[in-house]
Amino acid sequence: MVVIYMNSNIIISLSSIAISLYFYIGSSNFPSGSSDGVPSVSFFPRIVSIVIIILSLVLLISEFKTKRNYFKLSEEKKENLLPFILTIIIIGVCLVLWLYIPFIPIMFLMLFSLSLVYKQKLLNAVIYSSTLSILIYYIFNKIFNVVLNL
Amino acid sequence: MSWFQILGNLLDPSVFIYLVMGVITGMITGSLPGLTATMSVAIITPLTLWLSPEQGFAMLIGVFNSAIWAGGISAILLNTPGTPASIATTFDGYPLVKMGKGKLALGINVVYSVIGGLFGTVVLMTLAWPLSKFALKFGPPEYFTLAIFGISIMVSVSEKSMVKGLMVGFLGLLLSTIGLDPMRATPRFTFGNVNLMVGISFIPALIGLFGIGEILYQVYNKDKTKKTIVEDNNSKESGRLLVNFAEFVRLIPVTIVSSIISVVVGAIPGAGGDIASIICWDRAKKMSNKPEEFEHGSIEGLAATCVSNNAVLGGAMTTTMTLGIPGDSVNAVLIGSFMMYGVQPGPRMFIEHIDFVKSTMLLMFLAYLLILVFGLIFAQISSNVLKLKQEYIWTTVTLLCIVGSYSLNNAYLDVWIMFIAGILGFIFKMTDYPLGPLILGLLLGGLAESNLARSLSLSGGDMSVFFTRPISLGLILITTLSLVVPLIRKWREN
Repeated sequence: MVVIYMNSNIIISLSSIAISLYFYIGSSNFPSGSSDGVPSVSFFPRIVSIVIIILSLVLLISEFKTKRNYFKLSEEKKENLLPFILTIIIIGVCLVLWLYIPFIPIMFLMLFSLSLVYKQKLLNAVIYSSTLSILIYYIFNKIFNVVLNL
Repeated sequence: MSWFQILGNLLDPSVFIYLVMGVITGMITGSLPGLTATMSVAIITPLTLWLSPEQGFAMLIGVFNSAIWAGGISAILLNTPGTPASIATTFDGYPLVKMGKGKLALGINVVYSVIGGLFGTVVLMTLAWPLSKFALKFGPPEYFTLAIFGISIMVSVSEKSMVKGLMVGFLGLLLSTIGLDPMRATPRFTFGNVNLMVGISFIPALIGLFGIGEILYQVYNKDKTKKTIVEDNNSKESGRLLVNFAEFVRLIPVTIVSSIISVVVGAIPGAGGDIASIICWDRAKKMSNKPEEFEHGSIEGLAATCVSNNAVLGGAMTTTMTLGIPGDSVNAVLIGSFMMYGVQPGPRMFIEHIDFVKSTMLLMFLAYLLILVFGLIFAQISSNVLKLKQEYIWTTVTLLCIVGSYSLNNAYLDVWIMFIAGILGFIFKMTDYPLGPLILGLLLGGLAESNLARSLSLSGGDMSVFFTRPISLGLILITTLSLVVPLIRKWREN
């Protein structure tokens, strides 16, 4: 019996095939036909999609028997998993909230939360987060005219 | 006026001080991710309206030259390119930092940027006409083959697995098809989102892949015993800012080749420092006796990209000044500034405003001398960033990545592109998928597709157009060689 190990390469290959198929099939909706030698709108995405599918299949075939976990953490690094997940969640949530909350408070909140996740001292976290969010706002908004909602 | 009289005028404190201010401003803006050299010059231009033409242009040239060099600072220290031209600087700059040679990396960035910049300026002063005439011979078939040559470098930057590198590179090419079709303006894969009509923003993707991706990687792999991002901060090696004599000699061939390639690439309209530095990095790797060091902290790789980023400016200015055609986006903004001062770039500029032409050339020269002085001082100071606790660096870089990606177009979508690219960057890094090819694909996809279509349109669909033009044929031959030689080398090794 052939055992297939779902390692990261298999998942990435399958995802690449899925994305390429989406682009290939999606390009069938574009106006077809070429004129004056100019390739059709779908020509380039289709060619590239086919190449990706071929490369993904090559990777899939060469990897499906390989048992390898790229994300495996050693015992002493296992505690990094929680800060890692929290980092992604905090950044994602703050980006969503940025639509509703002005720049300085939301960036303060993000920096402060991240500092706590990284086990910084509370007072240091408050001083650092407030100073940096205000400083960055001042540099980008007041000096370089980047429109950041206050 | 003679060159010496003009030099005397420029060294007058009332003018020189503005050049210094420009260099310092460019240094700050260039080192901040998201603030490109183009944006810096565009921001400063209105401020120079109140100044005399000499003062105003001194400031603009200072910003222009300095911002490109300073883009390498964040690329080296934070693995986040300050400007698109410094993408390739991350390949070896950041690994050098991790090896505890951050100061040396910053020193190489300063010295070799200055060498490249001075070389480009000398070329501008001496070979302006023939170089710009050569650059004008580039039509769609030449641009297409140039893009294909750039894409072929994917093989070089796919060290661990060629299949993985090519796969990621073609994914970049596929993503570059998002947006309006270059010939018929048909929307492709935009999901009805107006912001996606212009395609996936390249710089936010770049900031995310290298900046956020690296931070997530460091958080995931945090070593409790390590407080800073460098391995050894107190060794003799970590205190060195300049290359030693043996290293200097070793870097001479790379410097010469990179300077020549970059000036020629810079003179071609639309081909900027990003493309030139990747090509030069690849050339340096092929020339090197120690190719295995590349992507792991090679001083040759770093020097090649630093030389290239700045030598390209001389080439780009050549086309801008002699023909009035901008070599890249920064030069397009500079043309506007020329016109603001009543000078129309083009052949007549060399007759009607010859003093202005000489002033510009000398200002570029002086700006690089100032960069050498300020750069080495700034390198000493900025290397202290490496002594900060890594948690402070992570949070600061996260905020800079968010603001940097947003500030480019004031677009919220760009921040999400950056964030998603960051997560992808982390996954690719963990699973040994090189990021370089993805960037190459994104960068060159549009150039390749649009010029393929234009070439075939011109030739009525006849593919022989790529083989009958000498420059295009030459580029095809170089591409074939660069693809075949590594394969033969690998086959021989086996």
